Amino acid sequence: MAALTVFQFLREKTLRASARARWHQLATGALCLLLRNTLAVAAPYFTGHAVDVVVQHGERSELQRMLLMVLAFAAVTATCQWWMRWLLIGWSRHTERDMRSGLFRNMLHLQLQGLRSLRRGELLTRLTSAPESVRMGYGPGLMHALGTAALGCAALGLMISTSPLLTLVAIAPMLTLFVTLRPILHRIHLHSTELQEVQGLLAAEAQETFSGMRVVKTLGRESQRLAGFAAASQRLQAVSLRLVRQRALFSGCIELFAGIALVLIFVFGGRAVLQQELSIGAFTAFSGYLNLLVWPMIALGWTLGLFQSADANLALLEKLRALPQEGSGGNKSSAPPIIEARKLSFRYPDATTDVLQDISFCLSAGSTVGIVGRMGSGKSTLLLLLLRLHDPPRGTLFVGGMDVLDWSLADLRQTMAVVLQESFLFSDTLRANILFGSSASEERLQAALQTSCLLGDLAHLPHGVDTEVGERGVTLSGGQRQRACLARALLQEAPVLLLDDPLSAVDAETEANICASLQTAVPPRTTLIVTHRLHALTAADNILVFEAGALVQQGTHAQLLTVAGPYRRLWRASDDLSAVEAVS
Amino acid sequence: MRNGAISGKVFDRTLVLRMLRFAKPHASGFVLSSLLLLLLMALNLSMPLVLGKSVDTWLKPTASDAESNGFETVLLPAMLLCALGIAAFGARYVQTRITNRTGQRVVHDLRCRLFEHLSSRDLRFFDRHNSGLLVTRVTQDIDTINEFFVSGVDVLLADLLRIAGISVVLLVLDWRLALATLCVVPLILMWAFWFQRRGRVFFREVRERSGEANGFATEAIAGITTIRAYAREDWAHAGYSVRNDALRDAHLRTVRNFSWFFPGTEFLPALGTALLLLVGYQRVTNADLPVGTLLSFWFYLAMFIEPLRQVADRVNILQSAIAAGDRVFHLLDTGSELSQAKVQAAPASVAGEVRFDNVEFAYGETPVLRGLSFTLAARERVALVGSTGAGKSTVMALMARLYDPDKGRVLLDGRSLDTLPPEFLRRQVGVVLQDVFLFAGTLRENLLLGSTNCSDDMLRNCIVTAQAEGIATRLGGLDGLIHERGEGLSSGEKQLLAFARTLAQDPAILILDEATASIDTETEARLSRALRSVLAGRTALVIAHRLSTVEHCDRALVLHHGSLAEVGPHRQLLHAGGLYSRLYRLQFRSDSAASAAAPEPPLSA
Repeated sequence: MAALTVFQFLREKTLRASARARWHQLATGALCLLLRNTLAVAAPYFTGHAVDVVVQHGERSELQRMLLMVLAFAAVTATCQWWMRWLLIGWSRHTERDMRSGLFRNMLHLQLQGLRSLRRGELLTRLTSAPESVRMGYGPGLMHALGTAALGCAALGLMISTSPLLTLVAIAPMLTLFVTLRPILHRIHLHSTELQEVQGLLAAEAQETFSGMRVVKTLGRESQRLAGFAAASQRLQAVSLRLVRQRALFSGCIELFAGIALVLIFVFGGRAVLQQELSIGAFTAFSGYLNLLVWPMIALGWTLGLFQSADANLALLEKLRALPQEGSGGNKSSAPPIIEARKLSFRYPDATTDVLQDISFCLSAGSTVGIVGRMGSGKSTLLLLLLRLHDPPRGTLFVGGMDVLDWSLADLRQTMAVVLQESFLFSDTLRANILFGSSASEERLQAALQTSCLLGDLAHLPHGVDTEVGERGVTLSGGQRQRACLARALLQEAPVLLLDDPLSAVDAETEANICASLQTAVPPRTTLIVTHRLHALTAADNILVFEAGALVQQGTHAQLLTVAGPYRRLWRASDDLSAVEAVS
Repeated sequence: MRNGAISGKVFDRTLVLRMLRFAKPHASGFVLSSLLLLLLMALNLSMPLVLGKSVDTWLKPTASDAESNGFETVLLPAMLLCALGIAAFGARYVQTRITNRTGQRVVHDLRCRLFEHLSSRDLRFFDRHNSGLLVTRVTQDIDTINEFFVSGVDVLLADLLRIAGISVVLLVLDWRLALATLCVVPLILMWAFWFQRRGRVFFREVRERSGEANGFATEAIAGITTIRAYAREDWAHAGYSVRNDALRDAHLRTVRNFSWFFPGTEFLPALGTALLLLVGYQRVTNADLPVGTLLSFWFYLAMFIEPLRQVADRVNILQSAIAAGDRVFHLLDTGSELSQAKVQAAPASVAGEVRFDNVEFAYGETPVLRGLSFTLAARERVALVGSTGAGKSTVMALMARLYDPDKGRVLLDGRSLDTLPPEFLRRQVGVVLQDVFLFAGTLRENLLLGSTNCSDDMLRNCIVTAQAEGIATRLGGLDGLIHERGEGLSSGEKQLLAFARTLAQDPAILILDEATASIDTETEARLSRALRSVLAGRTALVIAHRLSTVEHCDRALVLHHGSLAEVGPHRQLLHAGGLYSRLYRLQFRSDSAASAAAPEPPLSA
């Protein structure tokens, strides 16, 4: 049943919640809608009587009475319409807001894996245009459809009371209409779904090109990107046209059938008038009722289009909501943040091999621990698991004596401050980026700036710490971005500090300064540093050496150098590097 | 940022003309569709006439042979009405198709033109413009412009023609009655335009609020791991809620404004009907007017109320289309392009000498390079050294002509870069960037990025040279998929892939920007050996923060605050005791303090 499947969007759960919360607004609005549409038939009714007065040369006062009725009813319906729109459309806007807010929260808590299965452009359309589309369905769309139904009932009632036979003649073509329209409706549905997809594709093409402009330009690939974009645009054009054709067919059919109904009324009604079974006024009123219905019927095509795109969009939203959410344990441990792994193995959901294999270690609170190893050996993954950006298997990873899966996510993450490999800054001021929603004092801010060696850079920025850093921090250099991220982490004053290759873009002088001030932190923090610069780890309490996902060595720098193994090899390699370069 | 406000004027003529100019190549489609609209109007206008005339024949007192005449007076006009209806259906369907097809063609052209224009801007343009905003321009704004052609101009013209046509017919039928009926028309139009004008302010606010909410969401999605790692979900949600609420409130203001509009258009037509009947009564009782004509009037009135009501809607569509056009044209007019004016033929071969001649460059208000001059001899390997923010990345960007210098020149083999064809230059200069950007797609697509002159075997060689075999195998070979922005790969892995990408290009000049910052020492040592063979026969500029990696270069350029502080071979600079030696000693100290096993200090080597 094409006509029934069209109301999927009413299943949207925000809708029910919002209807309950604002039921009085909805009820009053519905009442106004009912009044407005049933009373609208008064105009042709009284006009018909007025015409009879004119035709039969009746009293002028009678005509005036009729016309006053026309105006009075028009005033009433106009008032009802004002309230109807304000209440119902207003309600739909409130609900849309709720829906967006819920979606945004949902996105914030989706598992990373699911989140990455969608392009960012797609995620954004889900958040922006999809709720708007769904709203068009239950807001203006439903208002119009219900209004038309009420109007139809009222008009039908008056038509039957005027002439049952003529009514039958008038609605017969309308009934056949629905049979004709079903396949068209089906195609409209298909095409509008496709249109959504192609629009997303086009936006994604553009988004990638514009945000990757630096690469596109250095490699001179502008024309290839244009070709990709043009192809998407061409597809959009083709799909839009297919949709337009079906819509044109749809509204054309309604108009045609309404025309046929009018002609039939003309034939049968005209005969009745000739045989004096029907007055001219009644005939006029009758065609007036039909006229009242034609425009809303034509607009039904538009309404159904709204419903279908609302359905298609809700389906997209449901798909998004069905993605797995991060799970939170809900507990909190105030024990010292000992970090322990017991036979930890981990594999990303779509991968074929383990990233981490059978890892066990125990790091005491307050120690500085280095994590080294070649690329892809699982170092960063370990940090992501500690933060529960991905979930480790149960019983394998413990912080403060409690399984990370039992921790409440917020508490676990607040226990740790982190500098991720990719230094992400928001397009806000440097200050806002470092504070990142916390209400730390100016002194603490200055201290964080000091430790991360940013104070010296502030003088070169146009407005110091209040400089806008631009999208992703483009106006800062790579090193400045990394140090800003470090300052942000330091400001947390969390008992655990996780640093994933935090200073790769920072020059040697600055790095040495930073490392020195990090090591003198009071009170001592548990610090995990992933790095390729082994000399930064010589003072570390413990160094974990990873190779191909396994923990192969553990110990202090001095201990590790005494045994033949990967660490000594890595250390030699860094020496070799200087040697190679010195020779060449 | 402009919001496309077209203050004061309802239509900006130059803007409209400019939009129409884009439609010019497709003018035939629009002409055809306009002709069909005229036909449609004629068909529609004739229907009430037929109805009214028939009613007059019914009412004629020659009812003696009513039985025989009945069907003739009813059936003949009925068939006529049917024919008119079917013709109108056909005309409307064809017209809709033609208009939409033409409109889509126009906006496809415009869309591609805008995209091409944007991608030819220099990088400063992209530093200044939020990429999400640019995406909106090439997608939503262009769609809005489509409405200008599809349901704007054409339909507005058709509606106005229809109103005018009906008015003429009415005036011809009975001018006195016509004047009485038509006096509501200006009222409805005034009402419609008044609201439309008020509505613009509200719409503009909606657009601004919506931009703010979307901008915030875009960033939150891009920075989701950071938000999570800091458990700042509530902060992000609060930030979004504020903007989301503001957007809703802006929407509510438009709803409130427009709630006034429809009641007006409901009441005024009723007034029209009343006036018509009042005057009509007078004239019919005086026997000046046949009743049929009065009825025709009534039908006509019903016929033009709807288009009249929609005039404001149409004008609205036009307005937002023109506003979108304004924003699009604004982009088409701005952004300094890398000028192609001086481009001459490409040289047959490239030796690879690069010269900076008194180059100045500012990033916004902050000067980055201040009169920088240096020369890289052909096939020379030079290290670029300096602390963060000294201008190293800018030197690289200027060498690749991602920007043009504000003053001075950058020359390749003695020719200023802006005289070389861009494709030629890009082929000759290969860059491994600090921020590695990978696209969603296969590994092959990411390495080739659309170039066709590199076979799979050559590509595999590049991967081997770049020490990226392991990564390629893990991804599943050349057809393995890479996520948007290379998510799931570590920074070091992305850097190796970028290195392979540059090698696939086989450039004469190679620029490595902090290319080895996130690569482990073992891989780096292997890479560095491979590099020696790769760099042979090329001019190379290496930007690395590890001073150890620059020792094997022929010379080092030391940048300090945008100008050249020192220049010379590694050892010479080391003994000179300047900035370079200070940076080097610092690095050396931290290296040797760590290394009990270091065989001999490099200083004495």
